[in-house]
Amino acid sequence: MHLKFSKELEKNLEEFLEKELKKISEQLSLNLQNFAKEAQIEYKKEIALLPKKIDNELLKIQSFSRELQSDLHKKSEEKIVELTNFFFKLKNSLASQAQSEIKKLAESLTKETVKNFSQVLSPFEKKLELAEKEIEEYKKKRMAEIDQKVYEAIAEVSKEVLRKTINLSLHEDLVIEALERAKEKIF
Amino acid sequence: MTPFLLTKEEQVLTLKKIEDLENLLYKDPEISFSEKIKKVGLEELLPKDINYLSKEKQAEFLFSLKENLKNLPKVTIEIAFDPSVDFILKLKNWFLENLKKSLVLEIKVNPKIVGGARIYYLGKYFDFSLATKIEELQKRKHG
Repeated sequence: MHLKFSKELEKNLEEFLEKELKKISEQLSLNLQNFAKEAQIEYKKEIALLPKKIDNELLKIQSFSRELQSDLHKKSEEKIVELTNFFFKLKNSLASQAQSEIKKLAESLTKETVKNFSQVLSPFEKKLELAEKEIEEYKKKRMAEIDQKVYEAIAEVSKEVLRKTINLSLHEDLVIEALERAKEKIF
Repeated sequence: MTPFLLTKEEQVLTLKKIEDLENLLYKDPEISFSEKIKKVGLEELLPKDINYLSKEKQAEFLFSLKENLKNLPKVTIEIAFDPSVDFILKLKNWFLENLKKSLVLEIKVNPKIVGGARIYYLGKYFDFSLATKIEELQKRKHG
């Protein structure tokens, strides 16, 4: 009896369980469908809100970026000013040093050049002096030669004039006079 | 011996005549020596008694005469004009009167001296040319 009962119970239990399971399964399916629907709605809502959120986020990022850019700009400018000042000072310092060095070098070079120039020029100065002397002497000589030629020319003209002026009789008288003058001196 | 004066040309000509006579001395014995003297034109210069000397003596005389003529003191006179025969004679007379020596007179014509004379005698020199006078005057004027 006992066995019989059990079989029946078991059968009934199985049927009950099957029914309950079916109910649960259906409920679950329904719940799942509902959840899916709700989730879809929520998702759509969220999706619909997403561009705005993105815009907001973008705005925030842009704002942050601007701030960052501005900050960087400011810092860069400050750095640039600082560096510029530094380089300006450095440049001035270097320029000053360079000027000082150049001045020293120029002085040294000038001294050396003057020394070398004097050394180089010295023989030329002597030669120049000599050449000037020679030119002066040459000038004197040439002037003397010219004077001499002028005197000679005058003498020649005088001689020519006399040659044409003197007649034979005067010639003879002059020869006799020359002999008279020579008499005491050479005869 | 009376002093005599020959021009340079006369000296050369006379020496030539003496040489000609020397050459004739032993030639043509039929011709007398006096004729030979006439032939060469030396009758005024040679003494007459030379004709009576032996040929050797005549030759010696001619040789010594030649040497004497060559060694006569010479006076050179440089003048500016071509002298006439009369003037040359005048010069000869002047030398004979004033120097009273036998001489050879050489006359050089040089128009460059303009006038006056330059005289050379026994290594001495006297310049009385007008050219030199003009040059001296120029030098004095122009330092």
